[in-house]
Amino acid sequence: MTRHVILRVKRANVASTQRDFDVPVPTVAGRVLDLLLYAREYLDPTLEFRYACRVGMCGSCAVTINGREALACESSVAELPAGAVLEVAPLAGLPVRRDLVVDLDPFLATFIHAEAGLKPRQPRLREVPVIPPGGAERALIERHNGCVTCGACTAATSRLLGAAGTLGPAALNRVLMLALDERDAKGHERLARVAGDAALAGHDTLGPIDELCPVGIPLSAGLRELRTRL
Amino acid sequence: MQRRACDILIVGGGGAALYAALRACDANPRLRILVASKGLLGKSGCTRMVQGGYNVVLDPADSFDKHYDDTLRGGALINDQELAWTLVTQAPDRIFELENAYGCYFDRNPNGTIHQRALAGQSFDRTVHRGDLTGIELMGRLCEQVLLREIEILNEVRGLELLFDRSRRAICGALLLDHHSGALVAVKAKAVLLATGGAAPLYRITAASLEKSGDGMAMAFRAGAEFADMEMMQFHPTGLRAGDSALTGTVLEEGLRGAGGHLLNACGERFMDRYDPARLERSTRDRVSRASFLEIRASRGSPEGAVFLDVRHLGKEFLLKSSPGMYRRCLSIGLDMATDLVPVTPTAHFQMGGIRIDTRCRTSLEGLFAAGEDAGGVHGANRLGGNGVAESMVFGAIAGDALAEHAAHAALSEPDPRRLEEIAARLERPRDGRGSACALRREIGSVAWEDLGIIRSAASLARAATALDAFEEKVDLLPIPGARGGNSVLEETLNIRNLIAVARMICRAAALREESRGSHYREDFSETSPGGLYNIFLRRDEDATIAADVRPVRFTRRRPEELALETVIPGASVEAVPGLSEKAP
Repeated sequence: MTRHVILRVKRANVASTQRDFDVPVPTVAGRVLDLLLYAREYLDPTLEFRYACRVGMCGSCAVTINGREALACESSVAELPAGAVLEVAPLAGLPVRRDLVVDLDPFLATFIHAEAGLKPRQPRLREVPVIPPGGAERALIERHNGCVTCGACTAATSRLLGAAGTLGPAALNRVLMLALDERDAKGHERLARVAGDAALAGHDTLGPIDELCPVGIPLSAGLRELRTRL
Repeated sequence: MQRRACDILIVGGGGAALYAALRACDANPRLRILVASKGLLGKSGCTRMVQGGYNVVLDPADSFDKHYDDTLRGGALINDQELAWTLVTQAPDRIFELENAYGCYFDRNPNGTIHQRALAGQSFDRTVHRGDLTGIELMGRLCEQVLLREIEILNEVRGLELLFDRSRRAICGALLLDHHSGALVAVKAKAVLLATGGAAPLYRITAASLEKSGDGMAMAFRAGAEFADMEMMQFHPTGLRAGDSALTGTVLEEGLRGAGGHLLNACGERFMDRYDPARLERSTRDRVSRASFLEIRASRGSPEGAVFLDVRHLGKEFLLKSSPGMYRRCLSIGLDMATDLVPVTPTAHFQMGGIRIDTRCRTSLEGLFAAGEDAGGVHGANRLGGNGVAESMVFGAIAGDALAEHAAHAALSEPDPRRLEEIAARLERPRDGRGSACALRREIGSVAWEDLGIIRSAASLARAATALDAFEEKVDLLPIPGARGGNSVLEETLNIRNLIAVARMICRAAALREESRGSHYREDFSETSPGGLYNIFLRRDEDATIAADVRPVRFTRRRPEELALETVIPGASVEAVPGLSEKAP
């Protein structure tokens, strides 16, 4: 027999702020995304949430699941016992547009503010530069690359530490990568822009935020590394 | 209805759209560029999902001629030879730009040179990549470059219809729908690019990002643009089968077969030895997909309709090094590739057919451009792994340059008011009909899978044609509850209408091609015919029927006899790939 659980969606911009859906758990490989899709298809066609790739590559479906930021497509429900309550809420610290959908513009603005994109030294170079992967800088870049800009770490920072005065770990992580990148021409200027960031000044570790990154980027270590370069 | 004006309107938010926006902006930073993306910019679409990488000739021992011949052979010789040549010869400049101007991090060899590997159907190791999650790298870097330029982004705003000027000759903009507010936005533009992606999600099982519904193609079809090769839809042989989870259909990368993975049916037989004894699992995507489909159809699959990918003999260490992303994905559903069989199914992957373009991305309609999966002709009857994202980057860039050039000498025109009214009226129709959009979508997916999919016949295509007529009536009766803003039912209804338009073209072209070639397989004409070296061009007639024109392939650079030999695939060259592995469990 199919096992059912309660999907409790914290909704904004509708009359009641919370709604429970009685949903079956897929027999194989069930994710929170599957529960949301079921609820929208069979129980409430107006339920709004985001997703696209369903395999953790696009970062569209970050929500707060039982109080913790995660990708809905990567959060397994296989271990949930029958009747369990799973609470899903929008990301913290961002304006809610509807239900689980937040306005990501303030998050994307952190990248713009940090100028978190390559300012190339040689944009017209017509060859691929030889860059050994074993060098210290490249090895560090490699560990910090792969961000899917889902916003989970930045939302958690806002929820746990307050958003005041920080761009958040995601934008700072990219700033670190660029500071290590020999192809970049804006290193010092960009570092100066983030030098006063509260997350850099205040914390040796982001604690539980470190564990949240869906692609496993070591965020706290990155902030410490960035601080040494200011 | 809101009204906007810009110089360049780009509809789409994937790799081709972003690349076009960057190039157009850099060509002339004063241009007003508007990008309307159905999902979030750079997060929707399929460039994001690219695993394998980007094919490009960089090694002096490789050559444009080799890459070109591989591409034409892969395409079963019906590629548009000028488009394919453009792909091959411009691919290096885009890699230089991605590396040096946009800051992509591509995997390196220990000596620091760029690492290239081989995907199926290649005579040389020419695929540039970052681990097995290359799409994240490309889209991450392109997105941040777009964010840092003066390019206006409309997120979660989809294209509805193209707009004609009063002469009804040239495209002068598009009508958009803002998902959140429900507002209709009529945008006037000097040039419009369609880069919304293909319609693989037409099929019940698909690898593509699920929000895609061939919107660009459907809009262009309704506007009367010409299409090429619409019978050509690629199925990838190793889509994950994960029950009723949304994970079903997502691709397990080709490198796993290339490295020596086996495919087993439910009886434990290595069934490829009955279909392609010489190449076995390393056979081409179309042949392996067909074999798996036939095994499943003959009840030799698992009860849920899967065969099994067996990579256990490759060992955990190798799997972690060569395919860390795939290893992690399987582990997350409780399967350890090193010890477990992985259930797989063919999955609708990539649409080769699309809007006919020239080497400047111009379509048959003045003012309208297309790039990426919306366009057809580059890949012929079958796309090689690694040529898809190269196409998005190369033709995205060409489109960006062409849009900027066009906008420099074109003027804004007023849209034909009658057409605007017609479109708006259709959206305002009574909403108290019957049926369910989700149920109808599933029905269409099943019909497409059974009758328009991996194996076709005159009978299956006739069934599909009848079913599509019925679906077209049903979609107009669907109830659309509530307001237009934030309405997922309305969105799904629009998706279905677009998918049906694309499906009708696939059906028509597939019925016309009475042979088997590349990804198009007819049970009733199972051989490749020497007379099949033609392309099928379709366009919508005034009376809404589809007019077809069959024209011989133009062999402008290669004669078929020059390509008679099969591609010589070097021995198993899939080696450990640097990068990402330290993050895998």
